[in-house]
Amino acid sequence: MKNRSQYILFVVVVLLVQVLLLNNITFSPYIAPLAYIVCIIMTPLGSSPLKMIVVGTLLGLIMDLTMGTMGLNVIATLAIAYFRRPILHFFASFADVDGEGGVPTVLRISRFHNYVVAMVVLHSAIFFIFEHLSFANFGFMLLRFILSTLITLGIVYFFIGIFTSKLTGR
Amino acid sequence: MHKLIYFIKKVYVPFLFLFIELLAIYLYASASPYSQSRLLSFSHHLTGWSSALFVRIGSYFSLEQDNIVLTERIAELESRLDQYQNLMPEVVESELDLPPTMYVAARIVSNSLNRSQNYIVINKGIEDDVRIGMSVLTPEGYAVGYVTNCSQNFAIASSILSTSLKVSARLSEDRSSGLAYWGGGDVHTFYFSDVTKYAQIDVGDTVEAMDFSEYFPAGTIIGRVESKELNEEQTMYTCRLRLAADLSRIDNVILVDNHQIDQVRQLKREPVPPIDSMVDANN
Repeated sequence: MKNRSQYILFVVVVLLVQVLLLNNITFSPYIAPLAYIVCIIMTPLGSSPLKMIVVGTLLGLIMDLTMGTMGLNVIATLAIAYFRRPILHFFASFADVDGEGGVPTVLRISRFHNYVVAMVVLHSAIFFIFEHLSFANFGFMLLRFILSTLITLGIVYFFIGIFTSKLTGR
Repeated sequence: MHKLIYFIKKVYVPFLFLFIELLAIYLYASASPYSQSRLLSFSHHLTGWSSALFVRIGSYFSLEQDNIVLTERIAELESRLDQYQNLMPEVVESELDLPPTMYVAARIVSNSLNRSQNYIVINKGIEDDVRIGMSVLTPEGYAVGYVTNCSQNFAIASSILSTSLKVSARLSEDRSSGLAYWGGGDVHTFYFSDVTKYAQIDVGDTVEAMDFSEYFPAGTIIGRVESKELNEEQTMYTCRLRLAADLSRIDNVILVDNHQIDQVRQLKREPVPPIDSMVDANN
């Protein structure tokens, strides 16, 4: 219960940082950090597929409303939320994923870093492919995807570091 | 019956996922720049205070540069005023025969640069006589964008840094025409394509909006030629431009309500008459 309230507080803080800070600061046209995906990455293990759909849709909707994009964030975030379970199974044993629950950490997921990188890369790929919907400026799209993914990964790890250091218990 | 309920229980989650995903794709595919700017306008109501806070902090660091630009602008306008005062009164009167062009000075509240369709939020709205379609220029008169949506106190402008925006433009010196557009990527680089191979293009030549440009008053400077190259068929030039307006550092803008642009837009909206009727009319 305590971990759940910590997770909700974590989601609120991440959304505030994304909406008020990251969406307003323009580093470069090649960099668009989508750090809010950390909310999906850190959703407690054992969450039902329906719960993941609700979380993914709500998160995508909030980001669409604040970024002025009609449906783009829902497309990317919902897909990642829905396919999180198979991605988790790819990097951890069934016992770890469906076992005692709790937020994913290095202790619970054997290849935790691979899982985080896969989630961020897939989310960014879906987002930027749908954003451009054309290969006319492929070089620009590719560079934007690579740089944005790297920056997003940095911010995601920053949030994970803060969140897991505040967690109590395993 | 039990089997049916069991089947529905088993498949409703993937179906729900597919349904929401397809709905989002449909919404995204049917979104126009107008609907996106409406959404952005709504979100600005929610997060406007944070954007304004960043702008206020940022504006303190650019005060010195703003003062220099304003002083230069005052000097330029005073010299122009002096020239007009020396003109014959009847010439001035005939110049004023045109409907007046309205200028509104405004500040940028938020300016995105990291999207393929970028938007600018301006701190003036309907109450300040801002209306949809007004051109957005820098204080020096360089092209920045055009207003796509207004609320009472704010306006949203589509930035010139939008890959879907194509501006009818020409070379100031050679007068050869073409299309100016942003190719994505560097915020200082623009392209000027479909220019005849017979055009005399030199590095540093100015590219400006044409008389029938739908977005900017005629003569509005877009950028300067950095390089040129012929297309594969060796028929047309595509020039790489250095954008005149530095959108990464812009704070103040001037909104221009130009009656000529309205006429162009109105003409473009009118249906094209069939060829037969034009032949009959000529006979």
